[in-house]
Amino acid sequence: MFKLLIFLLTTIVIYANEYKILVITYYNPLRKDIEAFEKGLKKVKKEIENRYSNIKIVYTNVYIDRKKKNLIEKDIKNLKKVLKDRYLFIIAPGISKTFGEVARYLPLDTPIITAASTIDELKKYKGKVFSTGSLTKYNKTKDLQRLKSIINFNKIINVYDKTPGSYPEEILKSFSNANPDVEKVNIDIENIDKTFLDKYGDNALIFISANGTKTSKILIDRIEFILKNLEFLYDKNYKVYFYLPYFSTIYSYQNDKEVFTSSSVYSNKKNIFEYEYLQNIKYKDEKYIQRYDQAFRWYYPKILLGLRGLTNFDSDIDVLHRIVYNNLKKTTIDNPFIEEKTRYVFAFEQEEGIYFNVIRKYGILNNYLFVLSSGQKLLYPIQLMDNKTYHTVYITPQIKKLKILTLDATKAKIDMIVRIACIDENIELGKDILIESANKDKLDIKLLNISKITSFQNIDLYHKVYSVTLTTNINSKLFTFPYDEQIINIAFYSNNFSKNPIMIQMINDKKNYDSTISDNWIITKHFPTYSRDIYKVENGMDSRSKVLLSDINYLTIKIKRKEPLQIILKYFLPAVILLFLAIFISYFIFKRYSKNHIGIVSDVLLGIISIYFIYSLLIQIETLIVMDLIFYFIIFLVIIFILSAFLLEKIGYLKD
Amino acid sequence: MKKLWIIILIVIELYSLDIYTASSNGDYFSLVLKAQNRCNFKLSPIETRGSLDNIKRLISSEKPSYAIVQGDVLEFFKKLSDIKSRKKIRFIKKLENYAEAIYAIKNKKDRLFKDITLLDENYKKLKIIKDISVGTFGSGSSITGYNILTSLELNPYIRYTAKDDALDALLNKDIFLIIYVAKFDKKNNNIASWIDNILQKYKNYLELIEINPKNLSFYKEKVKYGKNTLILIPTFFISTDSNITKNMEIYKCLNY
Repeated sequence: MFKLLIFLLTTIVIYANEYKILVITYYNPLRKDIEAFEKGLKKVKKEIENRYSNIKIVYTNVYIDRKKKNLIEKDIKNLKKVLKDRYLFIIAPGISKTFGEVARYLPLDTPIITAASTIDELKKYKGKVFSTGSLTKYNKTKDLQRLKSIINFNKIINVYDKTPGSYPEEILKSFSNANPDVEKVNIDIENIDKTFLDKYGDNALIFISANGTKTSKILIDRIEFILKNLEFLYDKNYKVYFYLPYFSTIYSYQNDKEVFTSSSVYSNKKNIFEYEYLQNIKYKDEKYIQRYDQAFRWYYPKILLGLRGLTNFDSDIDVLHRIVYNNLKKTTIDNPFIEEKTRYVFAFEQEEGIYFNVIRKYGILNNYLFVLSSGQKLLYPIQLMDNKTYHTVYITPQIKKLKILTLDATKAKIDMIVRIACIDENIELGKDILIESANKDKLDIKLLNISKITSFQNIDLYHKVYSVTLTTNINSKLFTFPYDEQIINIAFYSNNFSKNPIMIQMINDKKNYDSTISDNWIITKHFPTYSRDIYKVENGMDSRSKVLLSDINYLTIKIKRKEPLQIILKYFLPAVILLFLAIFISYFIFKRYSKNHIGIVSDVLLGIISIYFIYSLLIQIETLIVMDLIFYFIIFLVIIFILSAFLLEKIGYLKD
Repeated sequence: MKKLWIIILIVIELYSLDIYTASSNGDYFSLVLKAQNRCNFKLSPIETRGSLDNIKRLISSEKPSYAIVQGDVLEFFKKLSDIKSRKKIRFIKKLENYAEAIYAIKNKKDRLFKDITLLDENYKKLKIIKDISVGTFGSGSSITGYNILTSLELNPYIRYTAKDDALDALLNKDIFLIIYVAKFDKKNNNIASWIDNILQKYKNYLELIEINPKNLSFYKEKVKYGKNTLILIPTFFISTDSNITKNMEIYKCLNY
């Protein structure tokens, strides 16, 4: 549910300025894991609100327990109260029941976005409603048609448990209308037996008609069990394929060549950003759809893009299943924005256009990964794809010195050793691989050493060691207490990827950096990350608007101030002393030179600024953020002095 | 004299009746061995994968054959098979003095499931769950496990493994549960020897838990064992032999 909720929320954040968001949930307040569940909801709220500052999320739970009518009344009462207060954007994530129960209480002009797919409920509602389910439905009908051309089935067996799923029914109905030649057989799973399978079990597609991923999985498991046991009993072989309307069910069938789902079938070789499957959808508000796509790409990119990019479907599906499965296992709902999920997005430029493939980054089609003794997975040094050769460049950066600049606290000067290893001797850091520097003039790359090493199953690699000095930006959260944690991303990316394609793999130097690297900061963590954003990389990162030709690899460093208390001792305490000093000097000047108030003011100003600069120069300043604040405060005091001087003069206290 | 002996041996061999049992160290196998002493026929237990394999061999055999099978597996077969193969089985009779129970064993040291003492409908909601071992494919336990876990919506977690491998996995906390069907001695209220042995040997680790699958009419008969209630499954003698008298004779031998 959380995944879906985040998915829906990111879909509608485009309306953040127009609406507050009311999330209508439907869960039993007495459920066993209520604490964890509500914690999850809070986390989602926090993440979304942090990410999109204009958004305010309000939750209301309308769990309807038939036995406890007072609960219903209380919920509806709450709902009406909220409805009165604000404009709404209603979400009933994924649960069709919620939609059906809740929608009728809402004003018809309230826009609703839902992942509910119960067609009957959606049809009943006369207001403004947009269901993400309708988009996928369209896509899946098309996928079934594509599947027909791949496995050439002539019968489709609609299997359900007691009643068919309403959402799968819709898909099947639109498929049947377009394909009258395909025989459709409906059957309750309880009635599947040898006689039925003898008649229909040869080259047929079993369409799993259940509502929801879990029930789909249970249904397919049951059918497989029946099939396997019958095959065992009678030494027979039935040839059937499965089609799962619910996409996320697929990961359980990593080794099944006969199990298909939506995107595993429909291989879109064009630029996926065109999303041709959306073209025929008539929805008045295009913004919804664009946002939907974006959200989809954010949270399911590895799977979606990977599946879409596959050309040789049959041979890849096993590996694909494994990767999808492994990645899903890694996915944690508690970290919905974790980069890990999306960091493998990769793109290829081909004759027919750009197309993205997350899996190919790992050379899935030919050479899979090496696993080092440290457990780190490495790409094969040569990647052969689409008759092109790509070399993998392994980059291991190691920080030698780090200094946050004195006069600009948003930048850091870094000295590091960068080791690169590649099969191609000619690949150079600074020429083929660029490093992003905040100040290009100060980027200094020196080649220290070249050697030839034999590793990776006796493949020779050229190993080059560079000394690099650069200035990089700090991802500071300015003015956020305690000012003692910062993140630095040092970007590495391939230059002119379309002409000179190389794959970069960042290898983390596992060693912990020692405390002498910086005078006042310690490196607490360092690890490689990848960008999710889309860049055009042609002689540097020019524009975000154009398509991705390479992803950006980062060495991400988390730094922490050695002594957080120093911020008080160094800045606040001197600042207070400075302030008293300024007041004292002002008083002294007032008393002594009380003849001309303009002279007094300029002297005061000069005195304070001089002290401030002397102070700035005398102490070692790590950041000027606090000092800037003090400076503005002092300027403010000076203005007060000037005004009071005028005032005193007016009331006759100061005399010429 | 030598020739006579050979003829006697051939005659004995001809009259030896093959009965499909499960594994050679299983309860059906020893049931047949013990029944031999009280029988006019020579009964030969034939080792198989389990109840479902017994039925498979029975219906595919050209000559009249005999088998001992779990009641629920027989039901499963009846439901899935065609009329032709159902008709092949001429004789079905419940062994009144023999019963089997469904044992569900979990590792009490596994913190994930430490509070679970009863496996019922509530565990549909259990999100993190490990696999559940139900014996090897073709065994009776696998069908029982499938039936029970399907009703609890847990069948995605079914794992087919032999009992000793399953025990290793359970002790290593790789799996959540072992579901195992074996003999239950109603007279003396004794559980199956393998279960008893492992519960004794690993008494600090393993424990029996109760299963309560709803809407499964077949698994209604229950028996109290210690703190737990075990589900009993009837056991049947089946045969493809059209000779009813002979079938009854063998049945009587087995139903001691």
